[in-house]
Amino acid sequence: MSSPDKNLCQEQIAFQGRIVAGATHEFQNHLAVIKEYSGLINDLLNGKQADGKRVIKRCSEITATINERANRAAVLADALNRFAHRGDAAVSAFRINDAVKDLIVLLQRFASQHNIALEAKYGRRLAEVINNPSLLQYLVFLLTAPLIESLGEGGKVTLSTSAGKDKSPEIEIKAEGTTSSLADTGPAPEIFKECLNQLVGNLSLDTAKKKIRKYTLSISSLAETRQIR
Amino acid sequence: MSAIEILLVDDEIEFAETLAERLRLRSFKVTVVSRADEALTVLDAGLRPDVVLLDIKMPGLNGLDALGEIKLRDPDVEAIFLTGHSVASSSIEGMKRGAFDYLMKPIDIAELISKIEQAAEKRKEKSGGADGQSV
Repeated sequence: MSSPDKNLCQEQIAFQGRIVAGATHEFQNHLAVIKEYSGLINDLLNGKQADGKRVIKRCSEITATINERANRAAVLADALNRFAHRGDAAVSAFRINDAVKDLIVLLQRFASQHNIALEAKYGRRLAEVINNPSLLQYLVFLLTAPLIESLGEGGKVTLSTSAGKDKSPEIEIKAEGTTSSLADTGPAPEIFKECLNQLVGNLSLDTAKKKIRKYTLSISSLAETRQIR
Repeated sequence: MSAIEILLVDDEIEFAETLAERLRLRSFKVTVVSRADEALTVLDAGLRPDVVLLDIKMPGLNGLDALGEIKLRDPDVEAIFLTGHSVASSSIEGMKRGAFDYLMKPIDIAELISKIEQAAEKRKEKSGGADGQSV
C-alpha cells in the first residue's frame, strides 16, 4: 500500500470513529428520553394522582412520544448499519441519494450542536453508479464538516444531488450564512487528491456570491479501474 | 425544610422536561433551560438554585465552561453533570473545575435524587447553616 493510500485509510478510520461516536451518543440521548418517559409513566401510575383521566391522558401522550423516539433511533440505527456495510467492498453499485441520505442522518447531531440546519435535495432518477461509496461519504464529510464548523449560528448547509454532464453524478455542497475563516484542521491536501483520484472525481469551489460557499463534486459512474485496495 | 431548588440545563429538551416533571412529582422545585447562556440569564435575573444539573455537550457555551460562569455568579452552588458522553475525561475535567459529581445518561432517578440531596446539603453547609442563612 502506497503512502498516500495508507494515510487515506488512517483518515477514513478516524472519520468512521467520529461517525460512530456521534451516533452512539445520539442513541444514548434517545434511550435517556425513553427511560425518563417510562419512569414518568411508572411515577404517574403509582402516584397519588386524584384525577385518573388526567393520568390516562398523560400516559397516552407519553407512549406516543416513546414511539416517536424509538422510530428516530431505528432510523439512526439503519443509517449507521448501512454506513458500516458501505466499506464491505472497495467498489460496489450504489445510489448517490442513498449514500447522501445516510450521511445526512449521521451528521444531524453534529450540525445541531453548531445550530446549523443540515438539509438535502435529492435529484430524481439518478442512475446507480459503480464506485466507492465509503470513500465518497468520507470526501463529502471532509467538505461538509468545516463548513458546519465555520458557519455562524442559524446558518444552513444543503447537499444536493444531480446528474451532471455525461450523466455522471454530482453532489453540490452549499453553505449559506456568515462564515468565519475555515479552520485549517482537516487532512492534508494529498488526502483530497487521493480521494478524487480513487473516485475518478472532480471538485470545484464557487465563492462568487457573498455569504454562500459552494462545492461541486462529481464522480465517475464507473470507477473500478482506479481502485487500489 | 423548604424544597430543594434545581436549575436543569440540557439541550435535549424532552429529556430535561421529563426529568423535571419526575422531580416535581417528588416535590423538588425545578427550572429548565436548554442552553448554558439561558442558565446565566436566569441566574442574573436572581434565581438562586441549590443545585445545577448540567449537560456537558451543548450548542454554544458547553457545560464545562458554563460551570465557571455559574460559580462566578454563585460560588456556593453545587453542580452535577449529566452526560451521555461515555468517555470519562470530560466528567473528570468537570470534577476538577468544581462539580459536585457526575452521572451518565440514561440516569437512575434514585441515584440522581440521592446526589441532589447530598449536593444541597453541602451547599447549605457552605452557606452557613439552615436555609442558607449566613451567621
